[in-house]
Amino acid sequence: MLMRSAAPWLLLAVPLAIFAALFVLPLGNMLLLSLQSFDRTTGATGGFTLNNYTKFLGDSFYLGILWRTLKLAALTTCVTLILGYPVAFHLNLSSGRRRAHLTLLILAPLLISVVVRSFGWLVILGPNGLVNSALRGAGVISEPLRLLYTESAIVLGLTHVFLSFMVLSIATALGRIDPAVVRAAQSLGANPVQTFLRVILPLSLPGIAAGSLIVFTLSMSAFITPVLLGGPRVKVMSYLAYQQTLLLSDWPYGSAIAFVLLALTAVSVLLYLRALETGRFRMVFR
Amino acid sequence: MATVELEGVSKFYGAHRAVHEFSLSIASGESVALLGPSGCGKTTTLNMIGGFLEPDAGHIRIAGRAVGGVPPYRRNIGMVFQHYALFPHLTVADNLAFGLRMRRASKAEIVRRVGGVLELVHLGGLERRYPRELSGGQQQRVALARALVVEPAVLLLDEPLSNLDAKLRQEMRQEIVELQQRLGITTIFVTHDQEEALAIAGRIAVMDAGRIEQVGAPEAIYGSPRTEFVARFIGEANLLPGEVLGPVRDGLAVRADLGARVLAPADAGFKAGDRVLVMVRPEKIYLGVAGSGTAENRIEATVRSVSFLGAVTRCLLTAGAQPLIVTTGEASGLPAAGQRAALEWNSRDCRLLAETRAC
Repeated sequence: MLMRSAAPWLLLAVPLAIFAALFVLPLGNMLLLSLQSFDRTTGATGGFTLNNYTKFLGDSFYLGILWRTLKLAALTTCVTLILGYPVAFHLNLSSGRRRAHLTLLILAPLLISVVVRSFGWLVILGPNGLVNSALRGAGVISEPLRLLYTESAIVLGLTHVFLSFMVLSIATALGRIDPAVVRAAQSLGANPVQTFLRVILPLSLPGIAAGSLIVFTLSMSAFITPVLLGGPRVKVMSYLAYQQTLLLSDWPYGSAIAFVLLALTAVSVLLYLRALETGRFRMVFR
Repeated sequence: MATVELEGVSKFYGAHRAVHEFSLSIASGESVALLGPSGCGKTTTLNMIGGFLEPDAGHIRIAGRAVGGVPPYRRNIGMVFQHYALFPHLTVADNLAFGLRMRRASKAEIVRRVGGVLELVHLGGLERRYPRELSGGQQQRVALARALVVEPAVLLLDEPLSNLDAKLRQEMRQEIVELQQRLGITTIFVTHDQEEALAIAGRIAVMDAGRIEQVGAPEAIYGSPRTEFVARFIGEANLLPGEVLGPVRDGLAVRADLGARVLAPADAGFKAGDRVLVMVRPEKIYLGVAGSGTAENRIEATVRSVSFLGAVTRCLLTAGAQPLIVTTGEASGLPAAGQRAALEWNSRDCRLLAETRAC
């Protein structure tokens, strides 16, 4: 009996230890750090202060970056959802070899390093890049469009990276729908559009929820893609934390920024889940 | 309510013939069972009537209107699925209202009709529940109510009772029969359970390998099967191979392979020299140690086992290599295992079938 009750904990011991050592401890350390003040000559000074947080929340520059990060993550989530749903729907209709090939195709972007992928977009979107030269060649524009180092470029880059997560989440949920339920809707007089809106879409909500959570949290904390495609002008929270910590060595303020980002992500996710679980179609999530 | 006609309907899956030249006319208000083993094409046929599959050949008419190319949502059908297929994200009330909303019924009418159908299937008080909060029997009722509430031209049932336990199945059988008769709705249901078909249907179409083997009232199908397949599939049957000797008095004489001379009812389909099977239902045979001498046909066999099953006692016997089954209401006075016994039956209780397999 003792063996049986101890066994799960023994099995979990190693992962728990790794998790504690590599995640919980540094995070706790960062939290303490974010509550200390900083001196340019001596570094973190110890003690306890909320100055870092009041500095962040009292400055419209920083709040602007916080808002932009949230906005870009939300936009990326919406774009991947809109682009990903039809793909997932199609994927779910195919089977066998074709399904395997499509899945591989959808996962293909993940096989390439995020840096290489973002450089690809630099080549495509740059002033002399593919898009601008093509448009100029066609005589549509005379001056190159500013495509790079914009918020749109960041959303584009993030969408490219995270679309596969959305597609696979939704396809999984669609695959769980009993085909007989769809036929039941048809037998009751629902045309294809009504069947989709009233049956398929609500029943795929768990996939939409899972995909959105993955894409949103990854977009909130994305670093390389926003830095490369947004440049120094279009900053996001992760870059701000990096800048304060590694470029300016202000570890306490960098930690505070990271915690604001973490808190915002956590609150957004919790509000989103709560909305889904108390909403009209809450039964789908049980 | 409407008539349903199928005329030479065929469906192929590649080279496989799922349904072949299926023709059947179903009267308004009639209840018909498509009965057969799995893979006989009965579900394919139902799906073609429902519009989920298009026939490769032939025509289907519902209420006199050809429905070729008409999608399911314009056929005005009500369908009950094997696993109920209730909408898991909707309450019982919303499940029932679904079809009415699709038909743009007014709010007041939806409330009235949903309330009415809930009463009809004895589910009052459960309208706020979700499907997964219901028992199997309750889900079955909701599925039935959901199909009935739209007042469809035809009610299609796909193995509707196969997921219920034995006792509940009996109850639901009775309820379906009563509902069907009360509403007078044309009903077509698919089942592989012969007892279910016998209990519910006004007429049974026995199917095998995509074809109709026999169509008729349950009593006719059971009492006078026309083929060996039907005789074996519906109930139990003793099938004695033999050869027709020729007409005698008011019947046909048959020389059974196991040695006895058997008298069967006159049948224009057979002449002297034809190979036949003499079919006798197990309950039509009188079993005794000595025999009564009153019946026209008599063979002797050795009792292999006697099992008391409550209402009936089932005896397995062999006459040479020929296995025989006898069921009787008598629980005492039966021969014991190992004993010789006499089996007797009247000529009017047996039927001649064409022998389909080589012996």
